[in-house]
Parts: sequence; C-alpha cells; structure tokens
Amino acid sequence: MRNLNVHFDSYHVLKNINVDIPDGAITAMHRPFGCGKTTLLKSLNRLIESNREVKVTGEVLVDGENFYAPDVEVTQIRKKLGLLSQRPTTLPMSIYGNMTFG
Amino acid sequence: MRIRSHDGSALSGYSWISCGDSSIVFGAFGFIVMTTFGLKVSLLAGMITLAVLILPVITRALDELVQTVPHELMEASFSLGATKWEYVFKVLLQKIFPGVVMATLLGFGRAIGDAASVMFTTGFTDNLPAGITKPVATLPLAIFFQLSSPIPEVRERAYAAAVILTIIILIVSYSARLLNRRFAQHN
Repeated sequence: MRNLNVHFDSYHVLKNINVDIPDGAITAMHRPFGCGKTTLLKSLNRLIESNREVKVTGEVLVDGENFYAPDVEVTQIRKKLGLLSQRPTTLPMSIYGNMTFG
Repeated sequence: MRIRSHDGSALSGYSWISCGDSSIVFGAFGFIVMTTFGLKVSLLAGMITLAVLILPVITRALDELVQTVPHELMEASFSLGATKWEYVFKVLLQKIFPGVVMATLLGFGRAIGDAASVMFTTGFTDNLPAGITKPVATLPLAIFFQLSSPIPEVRERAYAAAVILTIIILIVSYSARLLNRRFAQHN
C-alpha cells in the first residue's frame, strides 16, 4: 500500500498508510476497536466502494498491479484478492457452491 | 447497488403511490391505452390492464423481501469477485425465491378476482376467445353480467363461476401462505 487515504465524506479515516505485506507470509494486524482495521482490509480489494460516500486515494499494489488504476476491472481484482469477513456469511447454495463462488 | 423502495426511482414511486389505488382507476387507464393505440375490447387490452394493476402489488412485495436480505450477503458475494448480476441471480434470487413465487401468487390472486379494471377493456362474450384480439369473459365479469339475467339457467352459471373463482382464490391464497411459512423457516 502506498499513501492510502480513505475519507468517509469529510471524515479522514485512514491517513497515508504505507505497508508492505510479504508474499506467502501470515501477516496479523492488531489495534483497538474502531481504529479502521476492517476499513483497511476492505480498501485492499475495493469492497469499500460499495459505500457511496467513500473516497479513496493512493495505491494498492499486488504483483506490481495497482488495484486503484482507472482501467482495472473490479470483479477481476476481487477474484485475485478475496476477503472473508470475521462474521461468517454462508451463501444460499451448496457447500461446494460456497467454496467455489466468485 | 441499491434495490430499495427509498431509492427514488420512478418504478418504486409508482408502486408506492398506486398500490392502494382503486381498480377502476386502472380500468380507466387501460381504456385510455386502448383508445390511444386503437385497440378494441379484447384479451390483450385486459392483459395489459391487469399487468399494470398487479405490477405495484408484486413490486412492493419484492421490495419488502429484498430489504430482509442481510447486507453482509451482498458484501460477501462482492468480496469474492461476483458481479452485480451474479449476485442478483445466484445469491439474491436463491435467497428470496419462495417469496418471489409468493408475491407472484398474490398478484395473480388480485388479478383473477378483479372486475372493475377489466370492465372497460376485455368486453364480454359467452364463448372462448378465438384470439388475443377478441373479447373475453373473466370470471368476475361473468358473475356480474350473468347474475343480472332473468333466465334461471344463466344465473346458475354465475353461481357456478363464483364457486370456481372462490376455489381458485382459496388455492392461490393457501399456496401463498404455505410458501410464506416456508420462507420464514428458510430465513
């Protein structure tokens, strides 16, 4: 992540986030409740854009590809970088369907 | 993506306003459509009128259903790379399918029992229609016209039509109720 900033309306939620997440490693994040951990994770695959009032600037680079580049297909990057919520949500289909969805 | 009644779209506005409207208003609307497009009283004109009549009923029922679907389901689908249409057809519709059938049955029940909306548009005949542009008798209209006949045999046909209509509406209402119960268990 390079200079990642997230605004909800005029509220500046994430300020200049610069993080390198190593390939193939388990990376953990711990901070107090409400500090923006989920917002940061949702910013990675642009899931945060389902909220209309949000504005994101900066770069999220995965294998050299900027997920916030204007020509990027959002559904394709989400296939590449999925996100599972802390609260499990099962889709109304078979277990196989749930495992292979997307 | 928002599929909600408060989205300010023309369709949701129409459904909220016209859901409680009297059937005769839809009949008048159908009549205006007929005169505008040069249609005669026919099965087609009746179908158009009834479609407009049940559209707000079904739309409102579906709107309420969609609002019961948790937001997390949409988020989970999108986070795994689903497109809007994949979400709608593979997830949302799967989730609310019994409710969709129930809403359709409710609309059907409203349409089949309605007399005022088709009075100006379908015409009346004692025969089965030979085509979509020919007049047709709906069951409520058959009851309405035949009951006022001085001939006892014709009045008996009206009573028979009333029994058939009641049975059909009972079956439809009971099916909708069963589906509603199943939908409640499903969620």
